[in-house]
Amino acid sequence: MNAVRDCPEGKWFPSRHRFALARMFAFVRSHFPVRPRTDVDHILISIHPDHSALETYTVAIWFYVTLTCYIAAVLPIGWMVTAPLIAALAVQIVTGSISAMGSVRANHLHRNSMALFGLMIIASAWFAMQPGLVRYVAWFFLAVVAVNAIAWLVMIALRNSVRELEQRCGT
Amino acid sequence: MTASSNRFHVRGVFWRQFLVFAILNVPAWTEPIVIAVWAMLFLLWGPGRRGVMRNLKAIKPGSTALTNFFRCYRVFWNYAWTMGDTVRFRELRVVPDWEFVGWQHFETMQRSGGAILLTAHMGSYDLGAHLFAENSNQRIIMVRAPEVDPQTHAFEETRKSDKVQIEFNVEATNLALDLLHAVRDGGVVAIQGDRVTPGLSDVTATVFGRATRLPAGPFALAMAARAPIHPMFIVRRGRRLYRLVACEPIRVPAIRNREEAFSEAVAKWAHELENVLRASWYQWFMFEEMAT
Repeated sequence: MNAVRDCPEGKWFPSRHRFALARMFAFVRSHFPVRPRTDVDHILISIHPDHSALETYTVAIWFYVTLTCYIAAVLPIGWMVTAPLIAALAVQIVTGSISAMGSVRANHLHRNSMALFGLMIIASAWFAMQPGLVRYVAWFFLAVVAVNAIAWLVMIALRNSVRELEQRCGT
Repeated sequence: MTASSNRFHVRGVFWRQFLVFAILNVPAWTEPIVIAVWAMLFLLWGPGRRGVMRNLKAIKPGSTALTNFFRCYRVFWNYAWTMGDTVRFRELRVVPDWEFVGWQHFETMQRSGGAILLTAHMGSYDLGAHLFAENSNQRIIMVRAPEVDPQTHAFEETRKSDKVQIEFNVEATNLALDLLHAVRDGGVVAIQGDRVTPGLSDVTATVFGRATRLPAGPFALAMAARAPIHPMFIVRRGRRLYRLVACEPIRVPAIRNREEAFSEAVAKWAHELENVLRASWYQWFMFEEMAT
């Protein structure tokens, strides 16, 4: 089990985040003091890339809102109200369809994540060229993807500093 | 009902297999979207929804049916996350974050040798057992109700944790002797003390001002083994974050009058249960109405 005990600073370890932008944010945040926990006797913090609730919910909401805007943009005005529901189902249908390729018992998390983002980048590129307000949503999506790519390069440069930081709690 | 239709029943094996598939295929950042939809779909499960809403009515007297409907959604939402965390641990060995409250009571249990760990339908048994195994050298035996569907039962059997021994409370007499030996040999027997399994003995208690029935087994075992009962709860605090709440041990006096010996211990357990449920009603995974 890769975890740290009684080290509240561990919450902001970059290794607990999936996306480069979130890892960079965590790296900056970890240079500020963390309030000690007085409401509990002990804590155990697991080090795993998908453990940040803030990152997960932020990405989920952003992705869902963007997809809802795209679907609303292609629906007739009278059907726009169904866009949130269609978006929620579309995510699952697309994930299920991609998952159907390959073994049912295999771990496809990375592949599916890449595929979903890839499809969203293609959709964003198309909507960015369209007239109407949806192009701003698409440009925002593409801008975040670009900034994340820059953050990825920055985090490669900072990898030794990250390692030193995470050795604070004896990982 | 045919075997194939049983598969798709709410307690059928299909949903367990489907959850494993989802854990291996749904990226973490789309989980909130997926779980929000599925928690909504499970609101269509009438008996489960009604059971939760009736229990909520007892925990929060005076609340309206509409409010409890939305609270019920929150219970299902938490249940879905908890089930997901359990399967993720089994399939990918990903452990959540933990917080510990009442650690001194947990240490007391480890020092005391044999003990009975009394818990409720909250959090995850498997995650709790793994945590226990990481922090203790004691053998742990979990007692649980068997799955209604035989295929689901078989599916769960193949995925049992290697860290703990699981016993199903179907043959009360044989099991009681095995558990007694286990406690006397220094083991910890974990039992869920908030629901009565049909056919097993029970005791009367007052929970949230309502006369209800709780399982008598843990108290009888504590009396026979002269071992303390340790109330312990696993509470989900957020995404991949759980809290272990250990309470003061309860002792059952070894006296001739069984009713008298049990009454004080049962009242203490009911009190601890009420305290935890009042604060964390949104994750009491009790889909049947409290037994009356």
